[in-house]
Order: sequence, then C-alpha cells, then structure tokens
Amino acid sequence: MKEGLCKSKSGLIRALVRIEGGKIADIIISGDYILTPEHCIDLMEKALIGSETDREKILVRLKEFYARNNFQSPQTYPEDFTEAIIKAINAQNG
Amino acid sequence: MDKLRFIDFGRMDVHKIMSYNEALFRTAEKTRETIGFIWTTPPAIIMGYSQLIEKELNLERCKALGYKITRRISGGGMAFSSEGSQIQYGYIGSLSDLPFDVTDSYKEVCGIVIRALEKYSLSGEFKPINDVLCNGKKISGSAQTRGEKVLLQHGTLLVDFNIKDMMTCCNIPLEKISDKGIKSVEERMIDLDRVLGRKVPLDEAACAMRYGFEKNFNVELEDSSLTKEEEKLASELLPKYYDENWIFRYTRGKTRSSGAYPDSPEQAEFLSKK
Repeated sequence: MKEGLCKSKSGLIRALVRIEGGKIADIIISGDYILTPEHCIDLMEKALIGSETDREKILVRLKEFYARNNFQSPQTYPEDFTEAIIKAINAQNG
Repeated sequence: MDKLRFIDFGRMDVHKIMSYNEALFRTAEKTRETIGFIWTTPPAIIMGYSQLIEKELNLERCKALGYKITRRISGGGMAFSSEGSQIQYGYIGSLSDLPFDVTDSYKEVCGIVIRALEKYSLSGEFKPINDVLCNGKKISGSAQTRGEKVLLQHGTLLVDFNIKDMMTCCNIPLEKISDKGIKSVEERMIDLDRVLGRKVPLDEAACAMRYGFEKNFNVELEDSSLTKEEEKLASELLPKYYDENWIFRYTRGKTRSSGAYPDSPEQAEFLSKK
C-alpha cells in the first residue's frame, strides 16, 4: 500500500491506500491526529472503500461521512484526510 | 465538599494499567461514576489508537532498551515513558458535567496538571488541543476517548524525561540522535527536574497531582481501589493489551478494513444500535 501524509492542526494523518480497478480497494488512515470516538476512524475507512480516486469524489464521501456520524475531530477536516489520501493515490499511480 | 473516588495504582505493568483504564471507563459508562487515578510504569511506549507502529518506532531499538509496547483505546500520539520519567494520570467524568467541545473538555481536565504545577509555584498554560506548557515548553500531553455517558482522559506530567531514549526508539536515523538533535527537542519539551533545577522524587510529583485533582475539581479525594467487578473486567481485557493483533493491528499483513482485529467493543455496540 502506498502512503500519503498530511499534517493537520491536530496531528499527522498518514493514509495508506491500495487501488484496484480505479477504486479504493483498501485503506488505512493512521496517525496521531485527534478524532473521537475513535471507532469512527474504522467506520471512515470502511466508508471510503469502493470510492473512485479523484479528489472531488473522495471529499464528497468524507463530507457525507462527517455529516452522518457523531464524532469530533478538532481542527482536522475532510480536506485534510482527502489530501493525505490523494497523495497516497498519486504515489501508487507513480 | 464533594468527594472524588481516587486510585493511586503506584508502579504498574503497562499492559495491566491499560486494561485497568479500559475497565474503569467501561464500568463508568454504566455507573456514570467520576474517578481520578495516577500511576507510573517501567519503561513503556503506549501507541495511540490509529498509529502505525512500524512507521513510528524502531522495534529492535525499543527491545534493546527494554521498552514494552502496547496500544491504548484513545487517539493521538505515542506516550513515551522512560524509567522514572513521569506521573501518568487518568480522569473519567460524566459528559453531562463537561464541555461537549473536545478542546474545551481537554482544557477543563488539563487543569489537573496546571493546578499540580501550582504546588511548585509554577505557572502552567493550556495549549490547545491537548497539551500543557510550562515556561513555554510542553510538560504534559493528554489523550481522550469518549463513550456515550463518560469520557476518559489520560495523560502525563513529565518529571525526568529521557529525550535520547525517546529519539532512539523512534523510527529516525541514528545520526539525527546527536547532541544537536536532543537540544532541538529540549527547546520544545521540559520536565519538573529541569524547570526546578533539582531531582524531584516521583512520590512528591504524585502528591502534586493529588493536589491538582483536588483543586481543579474542588473535591476531597477518597482513596479507593478497583471493585471486584472492575478487576474481573480488567482481567478479561488484559489479553488484548498483549495481543499483537491489537498492538500491531495494521502492520502484520492485514489492515483494519480487512479484519486485522475483531471490531472493537465500541464499534460493535455502536453498530448494534443502528
């Protein structure tokens, strides 16, 4: 899995992504950023599987995820996660 | 004056104290009891919920220096504890009594450390999101997790922090662990020994933390120990904190998305309510 990093204001987001058939087949969103309750990170990963790989599609999924789920990620936003994921996708695409 | 149930666990194995943290948190989710506690550990590294261990740490160097590694249920960065380096604290409080906003609630609970520093006539300053500074440098970091009824915040008050060990255990090139590299960290972090210019015994710092709990929440501490139910739950949770599938959940060929570790109890509870 290829890696992309984004430094959000609550900490580093380290995304690892595997792409298959132009879609996200697997993803890890690790790092020392703050998001609580933490199990929502597991749910966020699952929500991203199957997403197409362009920035806008990923950002829309993440904004929907933020709207649908009850969690807080102070000073860390969908755009920060998107940035890390896009960097990982770009790394895979060489 | 209100009373606060308080447990001084003394020196404890890191796996065991993490099981105690989780057992107290899960029990309080049902009882809504407010609890304070402190502990120290032998050399240990507690990774945040989402951190990739093999990206962050050099496992060979950690092992050579005798550091035990586990993962906690709260997010944020690693908690690095060298021998005699700090007092660690936990606080479980009802969400209805604390600010909803995560940063605001960190600020309120971090008041424990700021009040503890007052015991030494030191001025602490909350730095959002989750740090306490002394003389402009970090002396305390905290992490928080939330259930539906209560939150658990745990953190540290640095007493004699071993920067060289921390840098050696981290996944950074050895050549960066120079006097210059250590000095660079010293410019951002501080501990009681350095700020006071004397050796501060851990039990003295523990007393300061007790004072911090009392003053921050305007309570009288009521010394306590685990109940039989909490002990039982902790013993059930303990294997998790030794389990490599939990500790290395991302990095042993599986990912969390594909079942590296069974869904967390929080997640199972969350999904069952959907």
